Amino acid sequence: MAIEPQIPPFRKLRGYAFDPLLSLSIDTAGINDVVYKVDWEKLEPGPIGEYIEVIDHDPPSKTIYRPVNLDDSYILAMDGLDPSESNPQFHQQMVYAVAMTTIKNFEIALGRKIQWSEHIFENEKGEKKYDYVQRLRIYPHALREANAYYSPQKKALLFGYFNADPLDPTQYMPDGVVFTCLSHDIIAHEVTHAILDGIYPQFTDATNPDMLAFHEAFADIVALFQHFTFPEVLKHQIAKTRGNLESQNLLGELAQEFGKAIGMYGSLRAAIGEIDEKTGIWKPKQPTSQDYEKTKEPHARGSILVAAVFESFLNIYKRRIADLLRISTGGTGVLPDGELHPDLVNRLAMEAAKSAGHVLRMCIRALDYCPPIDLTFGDYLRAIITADVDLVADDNRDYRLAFIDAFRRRGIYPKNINTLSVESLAYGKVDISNPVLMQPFTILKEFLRKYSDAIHYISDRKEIHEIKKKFIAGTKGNQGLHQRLYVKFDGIIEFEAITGLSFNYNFRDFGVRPSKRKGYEDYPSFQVHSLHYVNRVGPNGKMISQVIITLLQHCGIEFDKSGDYQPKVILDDDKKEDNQMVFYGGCTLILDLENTSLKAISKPLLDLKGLKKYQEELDDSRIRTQYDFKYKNEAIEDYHLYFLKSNANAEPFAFLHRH
Amino acid sequence: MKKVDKIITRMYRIGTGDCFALKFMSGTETTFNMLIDCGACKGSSDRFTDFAEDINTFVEGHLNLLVVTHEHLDHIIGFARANEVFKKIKIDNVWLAWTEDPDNPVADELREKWGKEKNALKNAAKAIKEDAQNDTRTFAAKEYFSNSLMGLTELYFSNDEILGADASGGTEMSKAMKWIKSLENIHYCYPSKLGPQLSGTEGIRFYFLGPPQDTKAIMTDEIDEDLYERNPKKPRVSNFVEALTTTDNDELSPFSAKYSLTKQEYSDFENKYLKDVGVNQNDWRSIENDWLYGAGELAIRLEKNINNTSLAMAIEFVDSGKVLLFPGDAQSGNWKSWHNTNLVKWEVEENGQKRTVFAKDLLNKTVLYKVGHHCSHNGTASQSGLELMKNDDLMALIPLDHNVIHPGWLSTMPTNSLYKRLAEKTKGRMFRIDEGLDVTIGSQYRDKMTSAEKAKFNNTQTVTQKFVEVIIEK
Repeated sequence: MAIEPQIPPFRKLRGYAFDPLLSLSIDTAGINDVVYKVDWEKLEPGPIGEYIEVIDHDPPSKTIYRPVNLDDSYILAMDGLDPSESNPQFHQQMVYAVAMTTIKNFEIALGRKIQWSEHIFENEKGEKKYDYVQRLRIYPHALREANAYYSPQKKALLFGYFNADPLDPTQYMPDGVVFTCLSHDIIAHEVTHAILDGIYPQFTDATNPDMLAFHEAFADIVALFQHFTFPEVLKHQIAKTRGNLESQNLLGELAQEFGKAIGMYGSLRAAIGEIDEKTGIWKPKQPTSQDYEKTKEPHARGSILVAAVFESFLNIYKRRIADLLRISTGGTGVLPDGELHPDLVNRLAMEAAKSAGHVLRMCIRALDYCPPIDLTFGDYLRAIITADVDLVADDNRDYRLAFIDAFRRRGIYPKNINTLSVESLAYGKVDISNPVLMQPFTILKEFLRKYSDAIHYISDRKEIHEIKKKFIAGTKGNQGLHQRLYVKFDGIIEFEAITGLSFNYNFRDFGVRPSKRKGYEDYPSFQVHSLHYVNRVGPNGKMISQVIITLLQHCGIEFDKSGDYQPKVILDDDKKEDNQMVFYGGCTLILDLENTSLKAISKPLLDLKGLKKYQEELDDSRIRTQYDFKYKNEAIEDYHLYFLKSNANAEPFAFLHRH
Repeated sequence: MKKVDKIITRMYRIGTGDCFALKFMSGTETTFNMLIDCGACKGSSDRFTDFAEDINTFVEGHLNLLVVTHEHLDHIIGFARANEVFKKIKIDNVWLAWTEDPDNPVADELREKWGKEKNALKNAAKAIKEDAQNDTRTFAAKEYFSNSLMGLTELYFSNDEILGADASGGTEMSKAMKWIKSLENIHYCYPSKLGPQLSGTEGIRFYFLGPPQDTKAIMTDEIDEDLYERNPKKPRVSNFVEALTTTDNDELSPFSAKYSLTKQEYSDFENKYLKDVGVNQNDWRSIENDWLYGAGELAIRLEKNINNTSLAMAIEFVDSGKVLLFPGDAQSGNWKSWHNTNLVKWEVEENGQKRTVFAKDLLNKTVLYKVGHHCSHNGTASQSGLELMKNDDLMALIPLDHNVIHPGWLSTMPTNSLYKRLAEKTKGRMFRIDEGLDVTIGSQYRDKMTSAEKAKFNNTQTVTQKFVEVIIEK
């Protein structure tokens, strides 16, 4: 009788830990070739799997490269194709392996399957349609420039290749072709853009100087911390730095080859230090309390956040290894000269990997605690702290303090906070003891429990998406969440005071248009953007079972053409004149399914302070801030000045990555 | 020999672009006529002819010197569109930047590279215009991009030439350059050299400041203060430009041909993944044209490169040291290079005494500044430029016309901070092509002038429909 072979847990695929450049240097060649272990899935040539489709169309070369079949038995037997710059099929394998690794990291941290953002389009009848997108497309050879970007329009990653123009020909061959799709860091960065867009599509809307910077920083953070998942790389760098990861090392640097190939002194970006252009010597970056205030360019501003997170990691790591250093040095903690004992290297590497894993997961989990729009770095710090408080009761290693301290050192402070303590940074529970709130929320909780039951054991991503849609929009005879919010909270100012959104008859006064939903034409339009069921277990066995709902509402604001700040409410939000702006309010509600406690993180359309006194008026300070950012912001880059129109941007990431 | 004691400078009001006629006088007698550039970013042949006739009258049919700063349409297209008039004018001498020197191998390489890049840009501009029109989803953004790109491409080709099917018959720009280079007595100007002494310029000295001979300064805006020695930049075109200009499709891919799909496979693949065919609705994800948008970067770089080839020139009254500064459209790489005191300096002799002149000295004594690059944010250096101009009588001529301009230029021209500083520095003695002297920002400063200053200023300037005229006395 034949024995059915088991489905393997992994597919092993060889690739670069960083990029081809490091394979050329004797010092790093040995560690750069790694084996990615990707969850097993059946693949079509491409590769095309559950999440990803690699389509190797190279329009400037007027050709399509033959898709690799990773299920081919010869290729399987060899753990994938040999790393090679001259074989485009290896490039396809590389983007697949890194993309899947990145996706996996997100799913572990979030505790749910990731989804790409919906394809929104108008059909022939002019109706707005929202299509499910199963796979992110990856085009490894789409552009001929030193650029790679995520296209929210096409749900695709476009990678470029270009001729190197290095500063120092001993470090890189002039005119050699550089493929951005062979850089782990660039791939992980771009995939992260796509994942983040799947969670918060509004984050590409630059309503403040932090929005695009956050997208960039977050993508960098994910790429950086994935370095720590390669054991050989980690050990090598720990040995080389003798455990001091604050000194120059590969782990804290991004896109080595790209940076050198475009004529920079070192990597494209670095979290801890950089080479001084005057002296040619590496030096650590010193944070100042002015960093956040003074830096506006998205990458530079984003790098402040990256540096803050990386510093948090370093401090956590240092605390975790202090005892090891003492044990291995007879109590002094001062390492003798020379190489470290390999056992010590292993133990230090383990601690580094653990710390990095914790920090990355804290950063990813925090996404669930962000407002759905208009995020600032300060909001993000609050999200990190709140997410951690919710899951980890006892912060005995002071992870939270490490974060707060690193943010403080760079002048990143959340607004409307009295002290920089964990207590005031963590979002507290909203008081819903008032019967006008308690009653509907109790009923709502029952409804959301049904949702959690319906979705808990579903693993098919499309099915998850459809169930979610059904619970939001409702079906014949079954009210969805959207309708229920209308019915339950119609005219309840107390609910407006939580969300900052208009749920009252006078919504037109605030430029909110009426709903297009049949039977609800006299209700304000709003959108239930997402509905997530979250089930997580903390390190001490603490279970959380929550539903996260994000709501969006928008209105139109018109400004005086003279350039003075004189906002006027307008109804039609489709107007696209230069002096008109769509103003968004949004709110993330986190409802605990066990004890009906509620957290609300709001970027209000209506002024929250006023609502508490039962006064409804638009949040003028938010409008003012957006106005200043949009119209008073003096752009300095030529590309921006020439090619970007403030209210119409087809590819928000394309220009951001151009060099 | 009579010394020149007065220079009359006319800024012609053709449109955004440069056209300056200078008349050197000794007493009431004209000793020398010169013209610096003749172009505007738009304008018909009739319009240019009309202006050229005015120039012809002003210089009495005789130009002792024609200076052409650089090869952008808004500086030279007049020589093609009003060629019939210019052909009538007697031209004794022509000065061009060294980057036009046919005997200079570096200049050759640069011209070849840029020639290719211009063609790439033209092909991209045309393709992007079509792509924008076919894309209903992101039309607004793409249209805006396309218009801006057209604006930058129209520095080298007319609109018709870009969109026309075939422009191989020779463009207007090449006609203009060809005519200029067919003239006699062409002198190629190198930085740190003095202009050759021409008759009728007694008491006047010409200094050449730029373009820098360092190709790196032209191409990257960088000046060598680095520790590392950068290799000299080889002027080579990128694979992006290759893709837009080459006709050999088989040579395009960076990979061996064996990896490419065959024709039939290609078409099957396209139908399945890149087009709307049956159940496969994938056209919205196609990236056929996305790569073209890299042309934005190319357009900006090329514009800067060519601007940096501008012949930058200072005209000095020897006795008083007063300077008229004409930097063309020099951008920061060009401006900065003037201050490399090891390379850029001039030995002059005065009353038997030798003296070294540096760019700083010339800027210090500038009394008339032709504002670089139509008052864009990087056409005037601040610390190494405007801030060094310390003469109390400083006047500025701004070749900017908001009625005749590419829409994409409006956001950078003028740059507000520079504009305001110019008003402060000149005390409001600034002129624009479109507004003449009625530059709004300037009037508040002019109100503060003493009556003596006002009277003096009013006697030195005239504004007519066709030109702005200012008189600089020695």
